[in-house]
Amino acid sequence: MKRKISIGLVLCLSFGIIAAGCGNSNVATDTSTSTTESTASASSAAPAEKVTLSVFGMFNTPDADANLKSFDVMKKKFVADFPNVTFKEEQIPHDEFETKMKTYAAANELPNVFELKGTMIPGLVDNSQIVEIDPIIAMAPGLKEGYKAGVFDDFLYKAKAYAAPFQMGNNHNVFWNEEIFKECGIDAFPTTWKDFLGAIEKIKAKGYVPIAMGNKGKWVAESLIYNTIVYRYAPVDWYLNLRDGKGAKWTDTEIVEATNEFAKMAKNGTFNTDMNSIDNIQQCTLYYNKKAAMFIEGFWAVDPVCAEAPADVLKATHIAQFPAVEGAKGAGNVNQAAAGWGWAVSSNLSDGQKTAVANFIKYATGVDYANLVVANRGLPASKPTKVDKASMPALYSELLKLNDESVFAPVFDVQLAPNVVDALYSNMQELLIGSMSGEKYCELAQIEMDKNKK
Amino acid sequence: MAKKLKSPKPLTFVLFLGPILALFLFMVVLPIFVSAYYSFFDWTGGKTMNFTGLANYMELAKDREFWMSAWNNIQIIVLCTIGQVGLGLVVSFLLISRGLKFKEFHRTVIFFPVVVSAIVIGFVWSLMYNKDFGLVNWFLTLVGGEKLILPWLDNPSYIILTVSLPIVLQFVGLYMIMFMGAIKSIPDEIFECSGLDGCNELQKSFYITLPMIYDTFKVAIMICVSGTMKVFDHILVLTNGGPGKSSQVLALYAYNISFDRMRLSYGSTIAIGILVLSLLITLSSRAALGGKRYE
Repeated sequence: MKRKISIGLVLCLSFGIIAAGCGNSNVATDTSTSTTESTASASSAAPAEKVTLSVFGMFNTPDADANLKSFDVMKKKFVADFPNVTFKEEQIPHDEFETKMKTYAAANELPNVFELKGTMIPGLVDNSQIVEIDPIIAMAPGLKEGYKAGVFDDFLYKAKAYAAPFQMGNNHNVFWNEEIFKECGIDAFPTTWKDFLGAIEKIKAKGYVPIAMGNKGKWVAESLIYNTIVYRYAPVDWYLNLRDGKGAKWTDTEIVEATNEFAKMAKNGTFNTDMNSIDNIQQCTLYYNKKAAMFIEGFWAVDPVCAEAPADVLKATHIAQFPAVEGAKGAGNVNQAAAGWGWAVSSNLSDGQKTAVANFIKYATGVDYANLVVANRGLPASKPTKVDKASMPALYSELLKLNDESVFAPVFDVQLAPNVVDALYSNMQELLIGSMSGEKYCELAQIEMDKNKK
Repeated sequence: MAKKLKSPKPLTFVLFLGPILALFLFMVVLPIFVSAYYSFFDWTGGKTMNFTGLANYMELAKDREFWMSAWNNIQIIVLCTIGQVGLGLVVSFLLISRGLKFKEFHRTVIFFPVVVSAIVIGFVWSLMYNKDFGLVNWFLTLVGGEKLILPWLDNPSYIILTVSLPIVLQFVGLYMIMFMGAIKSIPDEIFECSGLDGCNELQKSFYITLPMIYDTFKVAIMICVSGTMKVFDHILVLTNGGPGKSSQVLALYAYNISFDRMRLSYGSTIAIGILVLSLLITLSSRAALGGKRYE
């Protein structure tokens, strides 16, 4: 008898293990990450139909930024306001998010609503895994009108938008330390490229790293710096023509010139020598420790800088952008800006779920959300209606001013195909260490562009 | 009279081996066949899959990045085999010898990294290699070697060496334990006799110990070669394949193709390529070491 029981147990165990692996993994049942499930019991004017809404995002970093803080508040409000919706949420950190989201997509098990960036859209649309976002947004009254102009540009595919943005701001912000600049004999942030290069030499001579850069993740140099230098050498139309296949090429003279200029800056010691082995968090450490005079980051860095920088460094910190290059075709006030990530909706939702998703998107991207984001020193995709300028930190006011003065242009790595982005990222490291020429870098990027035309 | 061990019944075999065999088939063998199946398609995830026959394999044969990554793997294999198996052998000789004190302490300390996750090892070493705050450069400053201070993970000319060092040091303990077990199984009488015949410790090592543990040595090399072929986590954390692609290995390439570029079918093709290359390298290392056992 005992033997039969043990045989039974062993067989159950082995089948159980395999069944666990084979089972259709529901996003919401994943307990390996911070998963919350809540069904509010309070009654309200919400529709009576009971629906389940699975949400997958990356608002789960230890360094709480403006979006995370605001999302947290709006999520709780959503759960309280819609008791008929069983809200199943999974949030994991940014770097792991992309891999897991792509794994869900590959297995055709995407959650109802999830974050994505523009480059992921063509694959998901071609596989009929996500739906157009406009009809969903139209289900939430007043939502569409609240968005700023151009915030859907990163999510367009065949002239239709596929995600709802929650942020929009410039990617290129030079955080510079006024005290170090003064110590090096520079009174203000240079207004010409020639003066800027001169300032770098003066900073170097005093033993500081001119610009701290953490390019281990491969995107920092390309997305935050190189992108701007290209816009200083070429007009925005060049990029639009390249993206839309209207004759512009990476190998065009001005782009090669811009690429060689960036390589020259690296060769001349503008950046720390370990730029490819530290990340963008560590680049801030160099700046906070006053070893570097500048670092370059997206708008999302303002809140962490305000919270983490030592008081004297924060006081001396200002925000600027690269000046215009004399004689080049690009303008000095163009700044690449992106919504970057947005909320996408999977196909095959019931009508009740679509209503729930529309409401969720209103809570997670709309005007109320925008007001919170501004209060938390971020830049939302919707137009905020309440801006308390009196209580704003000085650095955040500078960010808003720079945003107002800038002409926004697309960010390459948000819009171009993954193979092109990979070439731009990986080869950038070689360009920066001098093992690849600017000509070769541009040629390889163009080869990847040409592959997508076939 | 020694009590004869009862031979287990077939059902007992099935019960004990069944669960683990089922797991092995499901998690190791089945994915190989699934990958092979996907490698004949053009698939970026989701429902749409287009049969492309051998097109992925044709591309793989001409893919410079694949072969460059394979070359990086081979360099790491050579360094790890020399480092892990060689150091493991030397350390095991030292720990067996009579002169060394605190043997258990040394054994524990050397073996400890084996049980630590590769991600942790990679992260610790990325801190140690840090140019400004790392232990390596701090130590060089301490002993007056400022001229030797380098950005250890930023130069392609020595990057393979710097990423291999953590892998070598992590697994020395594993081979040390294997060799110590093998050396202890050599009958003491042989050493005693050789001692009486006038052998010194070095001669004992070369003429008795090494030939007697040659089979273990071969197994160690096989494990080292096959284990290093799948190296991934250390490099992902240390350099993410950089600078450029100079420390990219095959597993990292397959991962990048699958999840960065979303070419899941070509990623599967690379995985099959890794399998074939691993088999070739492991079998050729076995052939090179010879099948004969020292008697």
